[in-house]
Amino acid sequence: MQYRIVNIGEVFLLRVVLANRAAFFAFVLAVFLSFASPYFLIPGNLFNLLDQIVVFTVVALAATFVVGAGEIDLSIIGIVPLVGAVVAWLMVHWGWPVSGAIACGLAIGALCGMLNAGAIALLRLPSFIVTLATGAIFQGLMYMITNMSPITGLPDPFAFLGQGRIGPLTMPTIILLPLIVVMVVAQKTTVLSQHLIALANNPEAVRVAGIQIGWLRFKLFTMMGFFCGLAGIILTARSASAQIGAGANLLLLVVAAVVIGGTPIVGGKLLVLGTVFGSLTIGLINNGLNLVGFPTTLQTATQGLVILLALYSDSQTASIQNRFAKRMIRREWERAK
Amino acid sequence: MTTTDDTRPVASMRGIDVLFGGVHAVDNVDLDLYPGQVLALLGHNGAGKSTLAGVLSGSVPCDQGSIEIDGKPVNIRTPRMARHAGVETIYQTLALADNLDAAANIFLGRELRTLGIFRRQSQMRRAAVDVLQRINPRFRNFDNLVRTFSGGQRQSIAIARAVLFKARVVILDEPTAALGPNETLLFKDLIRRLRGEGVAILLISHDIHDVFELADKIVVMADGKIVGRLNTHEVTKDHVLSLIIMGGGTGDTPDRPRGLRPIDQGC
Repeated sequence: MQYRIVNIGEVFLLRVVLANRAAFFAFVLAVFLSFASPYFLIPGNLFNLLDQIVVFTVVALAATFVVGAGEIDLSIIGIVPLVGAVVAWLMVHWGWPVSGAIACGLAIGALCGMLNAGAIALLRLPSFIVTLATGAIFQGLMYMITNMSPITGLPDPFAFLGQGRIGPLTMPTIILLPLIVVMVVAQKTTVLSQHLIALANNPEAVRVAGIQIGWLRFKLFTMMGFFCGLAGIILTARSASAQIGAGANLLLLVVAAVVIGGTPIVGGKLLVLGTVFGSLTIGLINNGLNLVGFPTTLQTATQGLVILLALYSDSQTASIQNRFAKRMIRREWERAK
Repeated sequence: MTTTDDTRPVASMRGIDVLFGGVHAVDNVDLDLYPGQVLALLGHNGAGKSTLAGVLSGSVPCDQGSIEIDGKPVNIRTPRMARHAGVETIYQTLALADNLDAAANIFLGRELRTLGIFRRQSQMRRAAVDVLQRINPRFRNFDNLVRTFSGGQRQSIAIARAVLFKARVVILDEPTAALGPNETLLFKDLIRRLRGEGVAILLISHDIHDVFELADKIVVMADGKIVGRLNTHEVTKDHVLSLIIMGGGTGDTPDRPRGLRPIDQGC
């Protein structure tokens, strides 16, 4: 039976706010900041804001599929700096050309993802545990390569990828925009995205449907590793050096972007565009905190708080919708009398 | 659908043996399924009926024996191979993904694709709507997620898989266990329609009333062996019940739920 929603406020809350939570957050924050600080709406600040979110957004795009499939990849913290270190090493010490080093870096990222999927299938352990361990292994490899000191002296064309501009947009932003399009299309049109949703919902259904779960995870984690590699390359190019502490806070930002975007932490839904707005929300929060002179030391704690809020509102959405549905039924019932 | 010669079985299983450790879960069993016939497997928990059906649906590896479908020997080691051979299983849990719509669930694992990775969304939706309207005229809201559907609608989706992919054999594992009275009626109607299309149906049930209403033949199992092959119209419920209870004679058999077996095993 269909019940009419009469209250415009309820329509707004249900259809607009709850359905596009991250976009709504980002919008409210942007409006607020444009009043709170005269420097917010300056083009320079806005393009800078976009530039700031690129590295973790690249990872978060792929992580949306991982989380949406009910899996998690904690080895981000290892793959990203490892690829950065390898790429820098190849160029500085072995004199590889920029393109060759980048191709090798992306391949190593993908390979790390394959190793994750292989370990999950072989050991029959949850991805949480496996990637926690492999993340440490990848990080350790990075320490061995860098010998605990940053690799500097990267060639200029490589640094241009991280610091250069074409028009008002920085190179990282220009790399990010087509990736967003690709991932949104992947979510909406591929068979893979539906298999991942089904995997989170009901692994048994996936198995009896004749889909190889191991192969599905292999594709998923390989893609994740590839995107981590790309993020590692951009991160290295931005500072024109491979830092051993690179990507330390990345995991927090990625998880925050994904869950603010509305992809449930247990999976079963993929919201790539939501993740993009989640990233934007984080960028706006950081940018706003800077503009209003909030101490930088408190930013990480704030991000943690935002994750909690997002997860809490996830858990409440169902009960809010339930309450509204009951109220509508009651109203309909009274009208009938 | 073309009617096949009624006297030739669609599927025949010969000398099927399944061992779990030292337990003979299925012991040298022969079973024939005929087109347009419902064969009910009855027996205690642990009598081996679910295991036997599992061999045909590819979820249980058999240790010995052969399976023929339409006279051709087939090798069924995984659910995918079973589907390929024309055996569709409708599980008690229906094996649906809640956050996908009806069409995506019907085509799960057998999607129509463009360039190998993209879904042919509209084509799959059209086929799904067609088949769902045929088997359940009251079906609405094709684009909603399966999580919002009633038990009967969910079952329609599971059956639509069998109809759409022209299954030769359909295995129903405890199909009415999760349904209300109205939905059970609808479901029985669906089974009769499947039978009318010349599909061979293997029904596993605890409910002897359902079995008498639907089945053409009854096979009673106990201790992994077949202890009775009966025509439904020739026997009484009491007779069948006594077979189930007295059956193998020993009575006490270990119960092995399906979920405890390791997955991904070959035959």
